[in-house]
Amino acid sequence: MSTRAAISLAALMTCIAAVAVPAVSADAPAAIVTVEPPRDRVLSGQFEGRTGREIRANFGFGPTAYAISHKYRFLTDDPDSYEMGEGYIGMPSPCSCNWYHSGFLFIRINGRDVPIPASSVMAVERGERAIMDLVWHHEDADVRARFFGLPGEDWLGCEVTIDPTGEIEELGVNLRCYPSFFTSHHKREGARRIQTPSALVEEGTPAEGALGDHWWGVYYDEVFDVARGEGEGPCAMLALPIEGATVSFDPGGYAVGTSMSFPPETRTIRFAFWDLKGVTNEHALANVRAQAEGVRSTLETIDLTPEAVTQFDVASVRESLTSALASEETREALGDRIDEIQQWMEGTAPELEETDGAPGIRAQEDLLKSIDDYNSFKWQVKLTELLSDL
Amino acid sequence: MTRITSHATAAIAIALLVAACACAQDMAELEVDHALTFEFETPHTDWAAPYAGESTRVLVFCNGRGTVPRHIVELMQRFEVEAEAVFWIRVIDYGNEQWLGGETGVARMMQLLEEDWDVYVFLGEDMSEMTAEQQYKVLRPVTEGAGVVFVGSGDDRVLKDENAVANFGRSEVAPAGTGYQVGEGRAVRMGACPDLGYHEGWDVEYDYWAEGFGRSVLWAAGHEPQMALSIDAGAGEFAWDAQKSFTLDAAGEAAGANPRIRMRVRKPGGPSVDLPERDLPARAFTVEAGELPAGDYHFDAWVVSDAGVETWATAPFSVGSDLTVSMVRLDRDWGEVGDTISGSVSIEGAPGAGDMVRVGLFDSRGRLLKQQITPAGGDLDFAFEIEQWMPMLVRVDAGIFRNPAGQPAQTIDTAYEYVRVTQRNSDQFNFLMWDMPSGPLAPWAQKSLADAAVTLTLGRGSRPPITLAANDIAYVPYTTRIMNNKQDDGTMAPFCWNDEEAVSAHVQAKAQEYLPAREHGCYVWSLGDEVKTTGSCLSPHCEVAYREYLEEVYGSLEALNESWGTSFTDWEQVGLSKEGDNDEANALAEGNYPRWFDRQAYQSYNFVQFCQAYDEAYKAVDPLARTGFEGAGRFSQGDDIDLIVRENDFWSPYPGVADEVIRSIAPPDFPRSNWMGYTKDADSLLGKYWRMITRDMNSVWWWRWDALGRFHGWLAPDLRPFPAVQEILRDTQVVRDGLGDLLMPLEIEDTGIAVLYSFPSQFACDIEGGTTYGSYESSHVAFHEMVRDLGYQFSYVTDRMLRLGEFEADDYRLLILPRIEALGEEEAAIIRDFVENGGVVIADVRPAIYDGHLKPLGDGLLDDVFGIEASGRAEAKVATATIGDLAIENAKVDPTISATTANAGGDADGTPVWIANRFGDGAAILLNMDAGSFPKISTAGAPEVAGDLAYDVISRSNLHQPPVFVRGEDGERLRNTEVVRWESGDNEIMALFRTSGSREMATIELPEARHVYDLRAREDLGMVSRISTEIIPNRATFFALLPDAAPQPELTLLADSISRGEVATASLSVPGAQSLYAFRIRVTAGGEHLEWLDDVVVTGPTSAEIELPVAFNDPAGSYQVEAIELFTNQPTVATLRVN
Repeated sequence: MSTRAAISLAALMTCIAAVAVPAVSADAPAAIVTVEPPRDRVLSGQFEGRTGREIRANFGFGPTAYAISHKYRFLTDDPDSYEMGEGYIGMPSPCSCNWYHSGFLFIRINGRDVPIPASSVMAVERGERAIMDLVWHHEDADVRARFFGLPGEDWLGCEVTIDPTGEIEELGVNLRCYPSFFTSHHKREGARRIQTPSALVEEGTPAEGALGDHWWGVYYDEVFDVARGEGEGPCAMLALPIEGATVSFDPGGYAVGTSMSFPPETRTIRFAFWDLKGVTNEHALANVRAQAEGVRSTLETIDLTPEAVTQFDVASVRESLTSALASEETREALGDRIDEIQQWMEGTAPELEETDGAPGIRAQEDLLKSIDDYNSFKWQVKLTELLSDL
Repeated sequence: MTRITSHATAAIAIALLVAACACAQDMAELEVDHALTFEFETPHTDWAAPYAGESTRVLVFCNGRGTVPRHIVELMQRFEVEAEAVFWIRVIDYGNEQWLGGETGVARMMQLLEEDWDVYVFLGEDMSEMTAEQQYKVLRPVTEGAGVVFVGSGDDRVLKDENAVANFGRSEVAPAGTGYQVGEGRAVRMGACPDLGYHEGWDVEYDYWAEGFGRSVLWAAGHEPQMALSIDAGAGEFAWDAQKSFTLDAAGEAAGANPRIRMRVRKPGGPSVDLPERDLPARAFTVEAGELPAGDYHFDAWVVSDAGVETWATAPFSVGSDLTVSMVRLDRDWGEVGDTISGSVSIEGAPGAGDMVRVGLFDSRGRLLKQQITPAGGDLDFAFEIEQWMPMLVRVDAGIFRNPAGQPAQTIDTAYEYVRVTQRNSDQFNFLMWDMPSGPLAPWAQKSLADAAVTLTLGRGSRPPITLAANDIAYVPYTTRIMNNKQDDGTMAPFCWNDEEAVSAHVQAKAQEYLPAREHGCYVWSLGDEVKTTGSCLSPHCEVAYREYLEEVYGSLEALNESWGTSFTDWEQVGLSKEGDNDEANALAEGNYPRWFDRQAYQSYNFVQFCQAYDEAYKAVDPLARTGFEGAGRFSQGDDIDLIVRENDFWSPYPGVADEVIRSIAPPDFPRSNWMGYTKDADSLLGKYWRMITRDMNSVWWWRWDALGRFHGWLAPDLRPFPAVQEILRDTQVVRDGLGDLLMPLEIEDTGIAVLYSFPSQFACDIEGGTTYGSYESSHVAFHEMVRDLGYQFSYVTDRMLRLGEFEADDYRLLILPRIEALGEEEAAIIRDFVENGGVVIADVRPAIYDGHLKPLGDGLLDDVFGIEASGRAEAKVATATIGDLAIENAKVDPTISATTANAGGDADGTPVWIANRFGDGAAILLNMDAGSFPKISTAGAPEVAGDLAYDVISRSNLHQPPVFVRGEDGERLRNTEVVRWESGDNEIMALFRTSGSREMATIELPEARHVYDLRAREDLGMVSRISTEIIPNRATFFALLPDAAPQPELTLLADSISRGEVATASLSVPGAQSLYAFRIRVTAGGEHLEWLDDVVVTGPTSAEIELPVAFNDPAGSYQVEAIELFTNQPTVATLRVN
């Protein structure tokens, strides 16, 4: 059995997968998200010498079992040399086509994708909402993709947040999907379509316009329609309109691309994604049409700051930590861990205390990582005390 | 006994009630995974169940894979314990380990840790590697009074020497390890269960280990018995014929009324004697046991009351003898049917007058099959013939016994050896399992697998475990995995496939290595899965072999030069066009397609030759060896499917189009299957299973016996079949009831339609713009669907069959040529003759534009047959094609084609797309677009005119109407439904099958009234010409269509009465039958089902003999022998008197 104990704070700061969720109540939460440990696979063929890594987050909040995965490759002999594969944010479930399992969402700042690997992939809330964060430190901005699910809903939300660290001249989000079926892979031909509020975009005929006019889209295939006994069913997207944002659709015979361009000063972009697996084209169109206004309203109003952040009380933490460390025996047993926690209290905590409103991306990331570490430390103290009493 | 824990019950309820919620599904699935049920019950002692003391709640942490979790169920069977488990697993296909379910699994664990538990058990797991919170939530309750038991593990932070308990007061309550005080609670460190291995009495030895485990758990919980019970066996050593005294002393107040004492003397693998139960005496008392065979025993005793077990104790003792069976020596520990089990028995000591030795053959159930009794003394020889009916594991047991006048025989000593009876299970429909259980409880896991229909196991080891033999499971040794990796110098690693010396040494070593597997019985010998099916290298050996291959193929250097455009004057000059270019990529780039193709063909040939080397070596040690491999089977990967089938003895390819070729060209007994097991729900799994049946496969292969997480194994951690597996077993019972065996010798009907598989065309479709028309495979698939959805069937013929004169042209009216772009002159001539003589051919684009080596031709070899000419070779023109009222968008049309003698019809931007030509007495039709462009008539959206057109084409070949027609509720042709029919004399077996869509009612119209049996409903529908049934996605429904009601079978016993130890022979036939019928044989005696006599027999008018061996220790009395016919589900009964 390999180690399954909590990893050290230092390790956490560099580790890509971390868990920072509030304690689970005895009752099953209405919305859950779990982040699996990284899975490595030694690659062969044209990727000989590389290892593929996948970190997968599984959502459970409604009728659709969504999953988000962060994928990348690294040189097996040099694990710090990374390569991007087909993408870095994939949606492997409920089906591998539709929003592409190996990369469906691309965030580009000044023409460059966010760097791989992500700085952190964390489940940050479960219960009333299931929320997971992916954070990157791009050379011109800190970037966070916050995916969320609400109990009973059939869509997966996503908030992209940008905290500039340099000048931003271009900001774009690209989407890739394979509606209903991997046509060319199976040597088949389909008929790709995108229905937006104001247009029907057909395969082979790229189109573009204001995001406000095409703020949602149902991506389907007329050949691979569940009603005809073929394909998985459509997928759909809704983007909260932003003044000045544009969108272009490129429905190829295989992949279907969607490119959105946002004003450089944009700091928050919100989406809803549907994978309508098992749903006919007709029902998918009706479903998204019927829900669009309501989902838009939700995206406009929801505050996605995790409870762990909004309810974090630095003073209380400091007080309980001081109390827990009063025992000389505990100090001796935990050694370096105490120093790490104290450093964190001295470094990050004051910044949090001074922040008015939701902390920035980097501060939230640090806090969410540290909450987990603090909780772990708290239990280590208790365990040490318990064992020393035996 | 069937008990399911409260959590498992809740899980099922959750699964049913909230199936729509992904969150609940995840947690519900985890509960199903973690369920600890009694669905698979094993022999055990109820040491403390029911228990007069408190029941005990246990939370166990252990590895979820393998057999470890079963220890929990074994504990629950023996003690009044309610347990839950948290499983640690290795993630399938990855190296990661985690708690099962990842974070959801951790959340489940945390919920469980909030509950009150009497004891926490770590079965081989290290608690210190849990998080601090998890450890705290285990240890805190322990310090407050709960218990913790470490089995095969420990934790020095908790188990401190200074807290070890030295005195437990009463020995019978002491844990089977070291006990500790942990705050207010208790802890135990005990050893892991030893790997007992399979031998006689292993289960009894385990029963005592489990007793100690339970005793430890109860002590840790503070739930140890309140009454005291001690057993004094004196010195613990007795002579076999001495009276053996045991003094028992019970003390304390019983919790329940009517306390009494139960006693038992038991030897693992030997006798178990219950002594008379008696009221609990007030003081110590002595009981005696008489003669016992030599060996190690336990004396077990319980105080029981109306409240349950008050306390128990067990004491070991040994029995010795001066007269012993010192050795059973076998001449050979395995043998084939017809061989002899022979050897000798050595006796040590001085036998008494009249002492006898019995050498008996026992099966794994302890049934005495054969025996030989001789006076004791010296070395005694024995010999038994191995009979066809014998199980795969036979115990040769020698016992010396005394037979005092007026008393039962008294066994003095016994010894035994196992003999494997080599069986391959090759004459039956099989279900194969990847890998096999290990660990102390592997025998139970293997038994559960056998109970759940497993008849074969594939494994990597060369020595199949004896548990396979004990369950009559034949073996598939995974002897190697053929890959085509190269060394730096371009030669094959580790040696060239044509380096005869290296190959010979390698394959012979392999054959020797796998001798134990051969002795067990190999269904087939596997050369691995996902192997590379082509290969060549740059070694001199390969260079020579390549030349020899080319000489064989071309016959002359002139022919080769003509094909390659070269001017070699000597064969020694023939080789690669560019040094080091193993794949002839250079030739391809230069457009020298024959030179490129020949290299590809050689690589396929070379692979098969390499397989043959293994085959020969394996046949040298096992003349019945069948050698082949798994995986591959893609048209696009260059597999020479005909050659592989022709030269290898089995193949389990990936599911796909190759299955259709294999079922058509392989002999009926050619083992074939696909792997399945890569989803978790019954429906999708059944879709895979039934597809194999409807593709005429004779076995189903499942990956793998245990799996959690991404996939599910055949067995759950508690060793019950997973719920989805149970559903599979229910739905496919008809296969094991005889359908599987009945179909094995039959072939799927072809309705006069053949499809041509052409090896070179696989390559031709990828050159000179060929890919713009789609793939070779997609064209085949399109034609399959077109033919099937209209109710017709087909079989494949191959280009090699044409060349070798194996094409029976008279059997077919229609020959389909999907993307047959490359064709030899010989093959073209045969096709031309076929049409001239009245046959019809249909082709899609570019027929025969290359020769059999891919040499581009000026005129297509079949242009005259199709009445066309081409202006060259061009990429596909994508256009809207119209044929009559049918419009096909995005059709991939060959723009070079124009009609000469043919009638050109249809149009796509000026190119004809529907070209029909009379040729001789037959006709040729060219669909001048790739078949994949044609509407998929099985789908709802396809215009019916497309179906009409396809039907019109097929009917031109005088095939008349489809043999059956399936209508939907709207009266129209029901789409997306396969009708698969097998002919069996004047009977017909028919399956209806779909893998997508929804349930819907269908009406099947038969060409004439038939007596129909519905094998799903097990219903006799009588003489009908229409069948109404529900089409269920993923579940094939079978019907038997007979000219009349099934004839009455005859079941006759050659002798109505036999003695135990003899073999009864029954004769089963169906007089007057023109077909085969399948029967399952069931025998009962006194209402007890004698499952070891279960069998499936396929027979017709000629009698089949059924042997019914009755063991010396089987019950006597009246045996009801039933032969239950598959179609009618009705038994024919005969009665056998067993004396």
